[in-house]
Amino acid sequence: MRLEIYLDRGNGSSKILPIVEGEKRATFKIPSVTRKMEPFQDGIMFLKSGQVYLCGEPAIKTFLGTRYTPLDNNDKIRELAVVVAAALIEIFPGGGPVELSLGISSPIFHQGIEREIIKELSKLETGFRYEGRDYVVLLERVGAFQEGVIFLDLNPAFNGVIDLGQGTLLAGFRHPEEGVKTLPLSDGNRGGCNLIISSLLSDDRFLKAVKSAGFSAAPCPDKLSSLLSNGRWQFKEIDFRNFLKPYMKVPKQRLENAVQAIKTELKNASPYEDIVPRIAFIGGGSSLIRCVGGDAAERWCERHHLELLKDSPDYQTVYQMYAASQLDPSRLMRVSARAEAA
Amino acid sequence: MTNRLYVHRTQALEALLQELWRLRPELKDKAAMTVYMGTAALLREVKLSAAAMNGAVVSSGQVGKPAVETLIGVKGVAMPSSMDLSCEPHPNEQWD
Repeated sequence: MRLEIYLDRGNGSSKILPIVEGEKRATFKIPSVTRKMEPFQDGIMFLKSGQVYLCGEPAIKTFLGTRYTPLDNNDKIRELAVVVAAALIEIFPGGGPVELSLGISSPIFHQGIEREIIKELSKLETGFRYEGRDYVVLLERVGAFQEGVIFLDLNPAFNGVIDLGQGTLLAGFRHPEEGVKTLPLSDGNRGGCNLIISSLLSDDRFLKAVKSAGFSAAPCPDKLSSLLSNGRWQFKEIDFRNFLKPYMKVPKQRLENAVQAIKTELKNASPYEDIVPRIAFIGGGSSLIRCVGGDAAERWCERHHLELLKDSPDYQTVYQMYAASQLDPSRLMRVSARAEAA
Repeated sequence: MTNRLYVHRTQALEALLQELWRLRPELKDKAAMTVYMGTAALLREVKLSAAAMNGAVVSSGQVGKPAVETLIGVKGVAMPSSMDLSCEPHPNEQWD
């Protein structure tokens, strides 16, 4: 089967848009956590190396193996092949040969990043095996895109964007002459929803409620992040939203700083014009803030020139990557051509 | 060091190659890729056959031995799976 995947590997969950034989399929998420297992254990086995991994929910529900998430060292390319393999299993549960083209977002975007991605994906060469089913992968095209900030490329009505994810806060703005630019934020890395999640998991009030509801333990950070990302707010009498409210101050403060940084850049770029900021607020964190804060959060966003996107804010990066590739197919480059150029 | 593999293009192989290249014309000028993919497919098949035959074929010298080495691991020794190693359910299970 010919498959294109647009994959936004978040620190918490990876967002995936599959295009099978040219037909757009439903988006889905996989928790980004992976575990490197012993060769004899169950999991995704790469036939080239014999290495075995778990990814997503199976990796959350075991104590075994070496755990990794991009939040550990902000490296979203490491073990990307495992997430891609898990996505292929979800798309083609029966296995089979796959001619794969891949669009990948990265918060750190630089010339030649495709080469790093291709090197990581070479683990998929000769295929992998999962629960007795074989997958043969021929990597055809790969393209890298600037995570979050790509939103501005195809949405000229906005002059700024903020992407609040699980681990990072990304911002970009539109310079009148120089086009879309990424804005380095001093509190961007590890400045996402992970702060809220770690605070909640050490909150006495929350832990007491967990015990009263009859749970033997609170969910681990990976699990809680996955639940929130999938909009699971209520468990028995526990409503996560009530416990999360007191912790929204920190991300809000960081968002305010990011908005201020965008305003300053817009002003510096056009000092003699009165530019009205129009900042798209995307990423899983934007859904979290809206769901926890309700109408008050929407009003707060309005006051800060932030526009909450109603339509799947956490899937915006994959949608934009797909749209950009449709407009310019050369955004995904042939793997063989790159190898020859290298 | 590069190991060169010389393959005699017999009529049977030529016919297979022509069929492959008709289906996948982009592989036509990539003999190394063709051989690589062919070898990988063969290796997979051998491993699957070994798995299917595991326990069905035992050589006379191996009868009675508790553990027999095969292409896919050691037969006769129970392979612990992730389930075996963690008998108790993971605490995250209750949050599904």
